[in-house]
Amino acid sequence: MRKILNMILRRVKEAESNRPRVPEPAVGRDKAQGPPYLTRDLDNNLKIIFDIAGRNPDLIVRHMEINLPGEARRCALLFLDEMVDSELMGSMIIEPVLKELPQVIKSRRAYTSLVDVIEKNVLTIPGVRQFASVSEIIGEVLRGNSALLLDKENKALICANRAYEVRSVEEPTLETVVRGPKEGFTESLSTNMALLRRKIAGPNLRFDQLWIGKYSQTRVAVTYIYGIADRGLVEEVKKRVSRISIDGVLDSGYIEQLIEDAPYSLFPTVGNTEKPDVVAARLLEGKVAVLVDGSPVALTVPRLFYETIQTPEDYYSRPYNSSVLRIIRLFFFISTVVLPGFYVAVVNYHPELIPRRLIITMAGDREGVPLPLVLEVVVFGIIFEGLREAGVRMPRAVGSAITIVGALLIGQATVDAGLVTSSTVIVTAFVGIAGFITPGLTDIFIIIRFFLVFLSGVLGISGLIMGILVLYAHMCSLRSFGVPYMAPIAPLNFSQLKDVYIRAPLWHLTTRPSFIAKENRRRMKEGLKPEPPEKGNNSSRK
Amino acid sequence: MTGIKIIPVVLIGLALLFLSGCWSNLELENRAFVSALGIDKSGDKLRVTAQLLVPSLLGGGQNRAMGTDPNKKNPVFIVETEARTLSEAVDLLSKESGRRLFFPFLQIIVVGEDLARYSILPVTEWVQRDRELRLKTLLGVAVGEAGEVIKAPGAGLERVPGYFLGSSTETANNFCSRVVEGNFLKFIKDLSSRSRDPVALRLATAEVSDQKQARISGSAVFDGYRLAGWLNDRETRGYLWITGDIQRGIISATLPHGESIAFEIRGSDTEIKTGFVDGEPVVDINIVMKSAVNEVHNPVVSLASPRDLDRLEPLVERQVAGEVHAALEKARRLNTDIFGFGEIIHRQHPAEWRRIAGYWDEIFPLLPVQVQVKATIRRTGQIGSPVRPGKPE
Amino acid sequence: MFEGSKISSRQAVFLITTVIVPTSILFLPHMIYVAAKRDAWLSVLAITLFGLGVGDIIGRLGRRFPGQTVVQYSRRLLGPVLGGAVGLVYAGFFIYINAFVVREFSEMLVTNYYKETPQVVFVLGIVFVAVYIVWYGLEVLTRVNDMVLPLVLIMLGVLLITSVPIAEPENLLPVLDNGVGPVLQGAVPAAVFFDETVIMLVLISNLTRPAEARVAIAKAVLLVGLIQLLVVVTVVTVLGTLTENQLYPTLHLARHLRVGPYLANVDPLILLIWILGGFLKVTIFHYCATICAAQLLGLSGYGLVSVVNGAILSILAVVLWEDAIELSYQISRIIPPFFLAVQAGIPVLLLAVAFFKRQGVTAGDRN
Repeated sequence: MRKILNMILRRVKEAESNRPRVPEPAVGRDKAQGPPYLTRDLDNNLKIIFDIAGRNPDLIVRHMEINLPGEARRCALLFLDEMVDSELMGSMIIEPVLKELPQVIKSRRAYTSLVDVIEKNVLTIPGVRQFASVSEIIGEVLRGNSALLLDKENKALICANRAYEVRSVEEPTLETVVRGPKEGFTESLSTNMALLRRKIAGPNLRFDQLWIGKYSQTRVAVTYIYGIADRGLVEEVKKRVSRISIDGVLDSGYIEQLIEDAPYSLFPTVGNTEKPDVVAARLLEGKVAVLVDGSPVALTVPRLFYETIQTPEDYYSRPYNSSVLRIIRLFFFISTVVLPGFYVAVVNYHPELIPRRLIITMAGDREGVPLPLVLEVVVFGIIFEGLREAGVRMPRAVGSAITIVGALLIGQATVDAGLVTSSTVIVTAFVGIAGFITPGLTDIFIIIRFFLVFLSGVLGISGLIMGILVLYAHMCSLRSFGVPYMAPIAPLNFSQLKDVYIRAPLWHLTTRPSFIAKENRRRMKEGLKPEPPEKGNNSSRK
Repeated sequence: MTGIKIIPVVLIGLALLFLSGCWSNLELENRAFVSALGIDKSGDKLRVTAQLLVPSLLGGGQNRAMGTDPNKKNPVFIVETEARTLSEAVDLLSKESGRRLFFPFLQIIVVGEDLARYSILPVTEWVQRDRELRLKTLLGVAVGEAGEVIKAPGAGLERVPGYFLGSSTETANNFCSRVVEGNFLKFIKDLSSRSRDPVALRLATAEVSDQKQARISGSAVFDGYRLAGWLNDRETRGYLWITGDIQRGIISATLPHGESIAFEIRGSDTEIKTGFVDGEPVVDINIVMKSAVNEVHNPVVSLASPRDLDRLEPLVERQVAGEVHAALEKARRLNTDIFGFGEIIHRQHPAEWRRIAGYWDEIFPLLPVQVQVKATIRRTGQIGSPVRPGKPE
Repeated sequence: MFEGSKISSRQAVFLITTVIVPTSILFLPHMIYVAAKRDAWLSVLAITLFGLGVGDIIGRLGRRFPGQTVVQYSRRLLGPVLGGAVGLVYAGFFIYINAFVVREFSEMLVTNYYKETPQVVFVLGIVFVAVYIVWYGLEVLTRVNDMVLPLVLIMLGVLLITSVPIAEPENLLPVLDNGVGPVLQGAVPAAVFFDETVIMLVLISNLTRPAEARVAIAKAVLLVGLIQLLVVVTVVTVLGTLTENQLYPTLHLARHLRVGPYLANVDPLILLIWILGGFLKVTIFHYCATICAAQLLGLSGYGLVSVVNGAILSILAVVLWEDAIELSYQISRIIPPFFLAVQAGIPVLLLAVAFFKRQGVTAGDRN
């Protein structure tokens, strides 16, 4: 298995280095049964192919005859219905083969291989390659290309006229920005690669392709910038991705869960994004991205904790606002996890912490509430999460209405009915909304929150502290592709903190994070701090 | 080190915690917030009166709309009990009120005169040892029964009588300089000091707008654990001058023709020097103060030139010196070194102090004290001299 | 080196500080004040000097045997029997002192905040956290510490700064009223705390650059000395004579802390950040005890040892002392000579033996 994969890898590399711009590489996968190569008999060849691929209604054969001097050579065009651009096929494949080929042959007295002539002199479609391996030909056809098979020839021509319906490039729904590029990835890997190419046009952007999924044959591109990304990291990613043996890959989420470092941990150690500019930024930091065909979400590794409080906009707007926002995000991140537990601990164990005037109101509220505070927080927290989930799943037209009903009616009515105290409603609502500030982690918050609420309910603030300590120790123990998850906070690296809690001015961020890009660290010339023109030159511009 | 091992460990830890229950957990509605506490002597027992808050009457829960109604009933609940010790009394009070008493929001502990004259030890001991009580709580001594002070329903602008006493003391401390700091921290610190005697607030009740209301007036002087006597308002001010705790406030003085004039204190500094004359200790008190003219009741007083102000300065100085002497006189009469002169001597002359320490009680009443007050008047408010009537009299 | 973790010398400084500070600021002011009264701050200076001396010996010892813990090189120096005995002493010492710390902290929690909760719950909780973190190894432990120690120090800073307005500096006068005797007397129980640099006997083996051990220890002791000095001065100037009968005077300071006019009574917060430090202290000791025990038994891993150790630790912490008074009596009266023998005496002996036997790497050997 490994040998085959290595072979694939090697071939992928060869293909890559030969024609870096044409996204039509060789196919490779488990050998199907049957003869591996084409024979010189067209009928036999078609039979072999249909034996493997099955007589499916969408697999169409277009029989043709070419008038060569002295013979009418039979040939067949093999393609999938609705997966090819039929107009292109008519004008650039069928027409040249039927009309021009006889004349070309007539004008040339001798030729060695008819296939060569067709490829080099006749076909006007841009992407054409010769194949002899049956499995490769089938793979190409199933992927949407057309195969031209000729009688008496043991090679087929694969023409790239794949065309199928794809979603156009739109603004991503999850990651929205105010300033900065608004385009997002689509389900088509080729489109996504093109989007990235448009960001990074230099020759060092590399896509290493792999095929994952025994039945789905999903194209996966391990993307990195040659010369920036640590080579060991690239190899590690490729190793982990190619290790996957699964029936099908329907989304990048499959890959994510199969290459994680800490699959049991609550914390995700693989990053994901829908935005090409984010992927580009991370590639430039020295990270590696994994693009998966059929998924608009790209994976990036290593993923570190501090990414949670970063957004792409931090770099597009000026440093002050971004720095303040980062601190706010961190604060909200901590609150959304800790606040419910803290609330329970303070109210039930240390009410002296609450200002006098507030505590009296809260005590008044509590009179007549039937549930103990811990349960109150848990129950209301679950209700909030449930409403949120319902809001997401709801058909869009009713979604907003339900959310408002949920928030207003349930909140107000429960308080009025004395089922919940208003402070609990405030805490739960705040915590719930604060959770959205770090979208990448939203799904794990509820677990951590309740874990801490229970500990606080049992041991007050000291229970909360124990929980936080255990949690933090766990976070410190994580690694994402060899990089400590909490870097550069723990292990503490002062010089790298310039892009964590705050974002230093862009001209100050002259090096890449040392824990990610190990060799090529310089990203910017020193001394790019903008300065006004020198004194004396103010009046007249040079 | 795979993750799979963590999960059982964490789960077992959690399960252990849960199986054993929640011990110190106490819901808010099961706590009784104490705002003020009165302690009296009743035979050989202590009678404890607690002022508890009724949260639902203070703007919480369903009664919130009603909570703003100023005419509704008193938002405190008074419970009373007798016991040999304070801790036991607290237990009994919890029984009486149906909730566990909770002290961190306690503003003041009032001790009845009888108990204070006997010994205040049970109170300081309990306050120090208990974890919920704070030494920042105020300590007051009631003239008469402490219970009466606690039960007095008047609360000034506050809703809760106990909180009124707290805010009244704080205001008096910060803006008027008329009451002593009065908290347990200061009290116990002075008590444990080698020579200093502690001072607490003096409380009495008065009729304010048809209601009995507790009010702070003057201070209570202790000799060790025992109440020795009282300082009135003037003597309290004198005490504050000597300890250097005067912040802000007004001094009314008399003009040469008998009219009144008010000065505002704008900062003061007290320096105490000790020395020995013929082996006997002497004390010099130097008070330097800045002030401003705030009110003049005589239209002919001129405030136009610096010399006019210089002429007014002795008025302030005399007034301050009078207050200081009054305090000194009372302290001497009670034979209580509330100013900590002994401590200052110890600090400044450790060797001599060792010689006289044993006789300090005998030395203090006869201790010669020099008082020097230097006042400067800096400002005269919005106007200079008062307006004189234009019509000749 | 036993467990692959590597720590930098900065992290070592942090670890030492975390080991000493949380308990010393809590218990020392009272202990020193009882003997030295208002000259307590002079005692702190004296102990700092002493701590520097002991730390230096430990550092020199570690530098001679890079990558080895005291259990390993004492065998090399003294032979298997005597050296094994030394290793046993240290394994036992770390468990014992840890039992002390666990008990102290749980005792303080129970007296101050959780009257109704059985003490054993806190003992188990603290030990559980320690075992959990040790199980991840020293690297994670130091990373957690990198976050916890700054928090503890910030909290302490807030406490000290807010105490300045109510401080009365004249409480420190007169200086040396009763001579030097009480000052030194006050330094004795404190020395036990300052010699907790003894953890470096184990941790030097994990330093990336063992040569820097001496400097790291010295830095840590000076840092701790400075913190302790500030704390003692603040406590004495604010509380004055009250320090004498307050068991936890620093906690008392926290009780009076007020941030602005509205946020009062924040002492549980302060206390619990403190506990965070205490937890880590226990964890560090637990790590040392575990490593010593594992090496003594000649095991290649320490996961199981850590759990067993944790169980022993919990039992000892509950069983060894009957009440809080016995605990504080022991630590200030009975324990110091024994602890000092282990913390300072044995290292001096080992260093002397190493010197005379010309064992280990000396300064001359390294280039």
